[in-house]
Amino acid sequence: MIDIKKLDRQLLKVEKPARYVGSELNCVVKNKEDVDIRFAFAFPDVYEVGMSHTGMQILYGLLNSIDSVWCERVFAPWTDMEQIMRDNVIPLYGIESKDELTNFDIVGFTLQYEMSYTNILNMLDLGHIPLKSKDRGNDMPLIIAGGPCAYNPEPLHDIIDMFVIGEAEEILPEILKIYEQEKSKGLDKKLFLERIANFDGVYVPSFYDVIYNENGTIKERKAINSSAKEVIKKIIIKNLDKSYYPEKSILPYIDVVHDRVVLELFRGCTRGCRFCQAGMVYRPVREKNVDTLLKQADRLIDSTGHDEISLTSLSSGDYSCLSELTLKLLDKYEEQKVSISLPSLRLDSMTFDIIERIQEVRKSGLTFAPEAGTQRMRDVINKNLTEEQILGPVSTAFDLGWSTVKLYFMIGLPGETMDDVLGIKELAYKVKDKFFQRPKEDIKGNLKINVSASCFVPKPFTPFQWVRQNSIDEFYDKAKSLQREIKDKKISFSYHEPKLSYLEAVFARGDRRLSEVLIAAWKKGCRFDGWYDMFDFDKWMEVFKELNVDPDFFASRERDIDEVLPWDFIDCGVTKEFLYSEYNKAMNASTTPDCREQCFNCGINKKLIGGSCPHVQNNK
Amino acid sequence: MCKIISKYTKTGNLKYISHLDVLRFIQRAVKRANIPAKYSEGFNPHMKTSFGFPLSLGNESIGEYFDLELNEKIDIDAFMKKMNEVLPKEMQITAAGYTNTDESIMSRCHFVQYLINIEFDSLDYNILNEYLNEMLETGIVYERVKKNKKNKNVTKELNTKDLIKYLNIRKNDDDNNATIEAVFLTTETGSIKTDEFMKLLGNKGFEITYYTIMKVDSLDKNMKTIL
Ligand code: SF4
Repeated sequence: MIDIKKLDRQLLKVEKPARYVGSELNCVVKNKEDVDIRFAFAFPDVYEVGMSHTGMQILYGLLNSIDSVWCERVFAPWTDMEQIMRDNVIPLYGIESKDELTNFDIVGFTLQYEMSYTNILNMLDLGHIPLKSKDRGNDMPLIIAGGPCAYNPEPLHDIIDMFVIGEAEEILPEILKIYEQEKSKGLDKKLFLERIANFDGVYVPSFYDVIYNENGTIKERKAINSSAKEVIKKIIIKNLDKSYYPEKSILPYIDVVHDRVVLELFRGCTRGCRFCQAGMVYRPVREKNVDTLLKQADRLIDSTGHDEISLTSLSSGDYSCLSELTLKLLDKYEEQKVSISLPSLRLDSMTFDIIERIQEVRKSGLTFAPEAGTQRMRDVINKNLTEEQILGPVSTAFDLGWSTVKLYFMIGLPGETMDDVLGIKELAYKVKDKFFQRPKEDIKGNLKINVSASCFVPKPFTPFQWVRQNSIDEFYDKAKSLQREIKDKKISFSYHEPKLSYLEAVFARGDRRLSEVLIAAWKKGCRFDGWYDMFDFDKWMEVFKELNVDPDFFASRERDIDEVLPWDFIDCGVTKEFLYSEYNKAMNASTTPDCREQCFNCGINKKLIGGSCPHVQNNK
Repeated sequence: MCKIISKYTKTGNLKYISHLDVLRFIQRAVKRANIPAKYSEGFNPHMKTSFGFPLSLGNESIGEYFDLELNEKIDIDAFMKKMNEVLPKEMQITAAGYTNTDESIMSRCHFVQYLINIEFDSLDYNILNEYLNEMLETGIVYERVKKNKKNKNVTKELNTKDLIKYLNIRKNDDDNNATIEAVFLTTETGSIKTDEFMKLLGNKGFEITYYTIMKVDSLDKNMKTIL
């Protein structure tokens, strides 16, 4: 255990000391003598961000439901705390036991966004753990990682011992069982990794070598360990109704980002938006049934006393029993003043009777995500949404009394012209017109339209995995044009920092050579790169230069269709052929209908299900 | 009106939880315990609770208070039992009762009693004792810098004599370790904070290596416990 008095003397000097002490309601404290495996669930961002993440709560509950395992949490200390830990030699610790990270068997990082990678390095270093896999002997914890960014694990290949590709809940207990067996024999990490290397969803980067062409592209990947498989298939939970769900969730004392019960209605998405990685890699759609969800809501409300339930999914409006569920929840929790929110509702699926009932409890602004300003552009990205389908619901919302609207767009989409960019302005103005083109007596409230534009980042396993990202200058040019053009007092415009999106694009589609870049950037002091005021672009550019790695190679280069992509060895279920045909359709601005209307054989049906997707059966 | 006053603890790691977070946490506990709490009317209904003076971050306490209005009368023992079941061991209700007074907890509170345990680098007991007496009798003048409404720093001069009611020092087994019992004035118009007190000791040249502060109770104007 770390020196508690030493910590105690320092904690009042940091912002929000509650981030570092644990003891929350429903956190799990076991007797370390009674367990065989100490697991640290590591979230490479601050406490408030990590604690808002439902996946963490599920895995925490699942691992702690195993008697021989104690799973604790560890978050990235904010810079003030880091300073104190370094000055006073306090190593990073699990917040339940206050034991140093080096006392754990396994440290598992969740990779939610690329810009958190330097925090991983910082956490290892603060835990007095060598950064590179090859420098960690059998006395050091096994470092594993999973989460959405693991679909391109290569930038972290030198650092992480093993990745879980896909839904880790499905496989972690099995992996831990084997770990326990190996540990009882005296753990040899390599033997252990060889034993699990044949599991679906397990990727051990040190078992492979990558050879590059002169132009920097990949020539070939070679397995250098006989246990290593050529292709790593993602692992999924087949039936979400039967999969583990925690009885309780940890209730933080301090305000966290999402201070509410989060209910995931289904996984996957049938829409097929071409920019969306989640929409591709989380296929097939798997719904939970209403009873499961009511039960889960009940447990979580009972164990936390939260006053809001948020119904989430990639596109919540597509949940087949949405009205039934919402009405049941509303009736059930009316007394207890629990409100319901539906954050990712698509415009066209908006059912206003539900929304109105929801807003009875609490009124908030409405959010729409048309993603692109012109019809052509929306067709390119396969956001199957016409202008009428956008403006119709907007007018309805105005009629029902809303006056604050948020509109989300992307700039820098493939094939975008300045006309498409300015289409964002046109659309925002049309929304404004809808508000005022109503009888005088109906116009109530103060109209406020917030338009926000993010910079498009091409992601692996999407039809846009081959395209070049706009340059930083192009992004600025587009964003500033919009800023100039949108001159209406009722409409405000903001955009995401292009430099941040550029770096995100580098890592999203990066290869093995980026491990060294990460380490060098961390050494220069890069941390919390996703936090705008912490992000130091110049430092990053210095590192690329010093290491002679060209970031444009990853972000701003159009790939050939026959190029070997760094993530090609992963099978996410959707075939490369499907992605390429989607890419070609995108270039012709031709659309692909929702899976529920017609199946286009993306590969999931044959490879993962062995039949057809559940949601298409009825339609065919 | 149906109003319960409860006395509760805030110990261990909960000393790092801010006052505002405690308010929210207790309201959620009331909800989890299914207590028939009364809510305000209107768009954003909120639970009708009120609390005592905020405890300084870093201090533990076995004498915190809150009021809760109810829709219907319930048995006090049942209330305490239900609440304690949903509260962590570091925060437990130790006493509760119905109250008729309209006076808020804050206005009823006049003094706060503390136990301050200090580890010194090397302690000269007599010098410390003398200094504490000086605080009580002659008074030590110190400054407090506060932001005013215009966000400008204003300095106020305070005297320990006016703000400290009682100090007593107890030597512990370890020679360099002492416990100070203290009663500080704590009202809406005047109070001394524990960290100001600790700072005065530091300024005087006492080398403190570690300390813990336990608030024992909030006292009314007759120096009686509030509940
Ligand atoms: S197999 Fe067909 S229905 Fe299933 S996800 Fe792929 S395209 Fe959609």
